Amino acid sequence: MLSDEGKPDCLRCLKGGFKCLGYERERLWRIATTAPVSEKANSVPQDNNEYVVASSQKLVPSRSQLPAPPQEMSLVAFQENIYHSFMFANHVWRSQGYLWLEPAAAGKLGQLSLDATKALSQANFGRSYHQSTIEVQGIGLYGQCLKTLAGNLASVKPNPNLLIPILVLLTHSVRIILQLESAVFRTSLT
Amino acid sequence: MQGSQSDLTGSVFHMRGLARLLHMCGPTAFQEQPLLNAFEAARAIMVIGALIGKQRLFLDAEQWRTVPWKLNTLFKTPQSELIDILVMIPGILHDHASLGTSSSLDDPSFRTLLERVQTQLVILYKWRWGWHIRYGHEVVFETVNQLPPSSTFRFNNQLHFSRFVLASELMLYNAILIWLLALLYKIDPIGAISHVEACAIAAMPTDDTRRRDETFAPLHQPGATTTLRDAALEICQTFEWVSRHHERSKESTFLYLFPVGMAMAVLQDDSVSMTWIRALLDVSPVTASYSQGSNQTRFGFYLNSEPLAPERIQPQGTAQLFSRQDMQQLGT
Repeated sequence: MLSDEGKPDCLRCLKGGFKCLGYERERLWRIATTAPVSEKANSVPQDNNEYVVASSQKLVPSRSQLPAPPQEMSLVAFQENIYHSFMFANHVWRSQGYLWLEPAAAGKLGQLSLDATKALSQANFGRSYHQSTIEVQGIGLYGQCLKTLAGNLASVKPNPNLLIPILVLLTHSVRIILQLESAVFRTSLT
Repeated sequence: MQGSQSDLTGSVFHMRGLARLLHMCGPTAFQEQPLLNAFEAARAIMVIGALIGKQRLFLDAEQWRTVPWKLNTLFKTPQSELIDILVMIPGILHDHASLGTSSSLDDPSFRTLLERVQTQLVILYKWRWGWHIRYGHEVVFETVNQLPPSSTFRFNNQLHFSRFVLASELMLYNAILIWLLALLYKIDPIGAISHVEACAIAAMPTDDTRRRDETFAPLHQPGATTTLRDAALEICQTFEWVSRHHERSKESTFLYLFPVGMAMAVLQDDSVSMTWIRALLDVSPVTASYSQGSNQTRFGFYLNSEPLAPERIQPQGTAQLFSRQDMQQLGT
């Protein structure tokens, strides 16, 4: 039922037993552009009555005011960043690897550490969001890291820097264990 | 189970790899950051494996508890000191298991074992006193008259910590206390309480004024409680705060959920407490899965009473971190 815009109360409110709140509505400004929002663009336009709002009205922040990529833009280039970001949202892992997990993910601790964090973050993301292709890719990368690690461990001189990739890979394998239905330790200990 | 066995084997494989690497490189190789921090993380993980397998860990040797921090002693945190104590427990469990249940305190080996537990308990209580003197003022409690319905709060006394790391240290302290108290009750059930009191007295600061003026309430002063349940509840009360402040975990916490697992092991027959702990774990999606369903694996070991009754279990196969050959190579 449309409002008859009667004053002080419209017919619709009278019938429904509501308090009529009038006809003035706050206008929401939504910026649907990918370009960075400038000061000017963020201000109330003054050139057209159709868009001018009363000075007492405020611009209400809404999610769509944030710069967002257009739908046709691919996020492939940011995949690894997204996986890593999701991995660091895990406060248990983040605090366990406080001084080395982030440098490892940034490639500052060697290629094997970087690949190990990629494997962990990708498999974790895929599993958490039920994206089996992504998860399998992560597990595949984990397998490649294992081969590289085995080769490095076979060298005559022990390299203490291998400690970090092993820790990351261990986190990965524990993550897999956590998916299992059976309590392995419990069954093997009782 | 095929997959689970291979995955478990994968974890054990990595832990053995860690052990060999540490053993071959020696403690001096991990004196600089970030390798020192990685070493501490590796040590914490391996302690859990060694507790499960009841196998002595070579990291309990004096050099592994001192040399990595020698270049910069400031890196030795209260948490590191606690893990220094925890790392001694697998060896005690191993020796306790090898003595058998028929041994009594008349047996010198049994008495030696008891003294080893008492030594660690005194060190732990001294740590607690030192921690209280340095950081006690950063823990406050608030009494609320009425708890909000269906909340994760259980007690009217609610703890507040100025820093996340303090909460994690207090939880780890109580987890280690549970192990040591359980061992005392196993080795000498009749004399356990008097041993606890003796250890608490031995650990007290020598300064009488300080001793008299200090108040631990609502937390427990060393020796003030002799039950595993009290230690477990203190973990839960602390985790109640932690569960609302996960985002503050900016510093190293090597055994984030281990204390909660220990508390669950102690309180497993208390349905009210278990419901409360699960509600606390469910606050965060990261920890939610640890409390139920498939992820119980992580706590499967702790959920049983066996860790508190070490003589009942005889780990075999993949549950053991090291093979006999590993133990020989690692010199343990």
